Amino acid sequence: MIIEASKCQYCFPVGVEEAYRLKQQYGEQARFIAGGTDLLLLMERENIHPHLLIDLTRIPALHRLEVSNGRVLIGSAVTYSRLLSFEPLLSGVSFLAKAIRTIGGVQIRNIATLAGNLINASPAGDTLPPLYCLEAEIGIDGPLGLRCLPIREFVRGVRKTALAPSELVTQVYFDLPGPGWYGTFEKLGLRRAMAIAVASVSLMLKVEDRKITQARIALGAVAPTVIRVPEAESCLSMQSLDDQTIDKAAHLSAATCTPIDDVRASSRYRKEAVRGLVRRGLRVLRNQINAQE
Amino acid sequence: METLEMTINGKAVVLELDGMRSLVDVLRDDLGLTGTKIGCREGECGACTVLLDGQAVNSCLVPAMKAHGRSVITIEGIGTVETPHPVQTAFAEAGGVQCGYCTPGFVLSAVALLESNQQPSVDEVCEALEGNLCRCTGYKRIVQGVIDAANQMLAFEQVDLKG
Repeated sequence: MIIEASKCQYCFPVGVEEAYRLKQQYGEQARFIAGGTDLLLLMERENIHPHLLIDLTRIPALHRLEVSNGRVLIGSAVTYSRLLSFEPLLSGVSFLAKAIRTIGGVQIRNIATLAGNLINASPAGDTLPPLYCLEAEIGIDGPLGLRCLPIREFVRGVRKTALAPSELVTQVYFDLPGPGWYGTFEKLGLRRAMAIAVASVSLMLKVEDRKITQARIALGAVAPTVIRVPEAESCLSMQSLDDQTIDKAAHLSAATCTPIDDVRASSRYRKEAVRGLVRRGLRVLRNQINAQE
Repeated sequence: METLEMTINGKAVVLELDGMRSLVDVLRDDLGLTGTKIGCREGECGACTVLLDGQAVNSCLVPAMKAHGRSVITIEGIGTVETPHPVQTAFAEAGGVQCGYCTPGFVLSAVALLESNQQPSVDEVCEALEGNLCRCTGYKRIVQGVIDAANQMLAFEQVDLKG
């Protein structure tokens, strides 16, 4: 039997308040849409038929993309392609740009947004490990007013976020890493282009007088959310990157994560992948650091 | 029902449609522009690539309403058998076409690339075509086609400047 899909309206609010008021009014029957590359798949797979799609991409305030006082502000309607032509991002956080380049193809990056990747809250979301390393903050607006959450509090689980029903993400913020910081992103997929991560790793190190004074390691696709691994991070403290230290951090990272078995890889394989990716990433950083000296 | 006003291949159209319908369905079923192909319907294969305000997008993942007030170019707006686009000629000559199903998508991705980058390297061509799958050619001849088209277009332009 063919059931006729119920009719769906589509609107372009011009302001953030207008957008969340509409959502409030229609409740569960309405969905926000920015790029829509995740939402359209979700609607198809889960047979969701909203009565209203609220398109956020014609709200000028959500297209802000700027750096002030060393802090980057990315509006939630800014596409990946626009980010990849934003010089401060390419030079200041090249590992985030590297993560973005592994997402989909040009056609996806021309329409999909960084905020959408966050809201989708997949543990395999490619931009999430870099954003966890950068300790990004998420700007939220809604009927209860503005609020800002650290990324670790924003993402609550597999496809779960801290957003209340009528709230929307307006901005993503993070500080540009200052002098002495080095960062990288490493991903293992089944194919270089278009493929979801089997495991991914982002690393940031601060080096002073040849010693690591701060380390951040974020792992993707190996737990219900992206995770930081404090044990592995602290084992790097006040060390230099010799092979032994690198192996130890790689081992601790693999030991901490709790990956699942699925069609793409087994848990054991993913743990080995984490070990390999952390080792590879730390070697990349060692080369970057040596090149600076 | 929503009213969609867009420019399609340079011509203004007005349609009444459901807000959830994808651009590819509207192009093929309402406008009869069947040159845009459906491969996967999930943004993996690129067969449905069209240009939205000059940018390549997967029309299967774009609600048609996103084209409201904007310009869409499909393969029908790129060239004809009598007057093919240089990319189309180059694909044919380089052997970048076998079954042809993926070709419209590849041509549109290539045209979008050459709009912004007149002399792309092989790596840049590969990156621009990352979102398009071909199961016949093995890609080499497609990439060669784009490089040949770029050279051809530059040569035309130089003749134009001199002429």
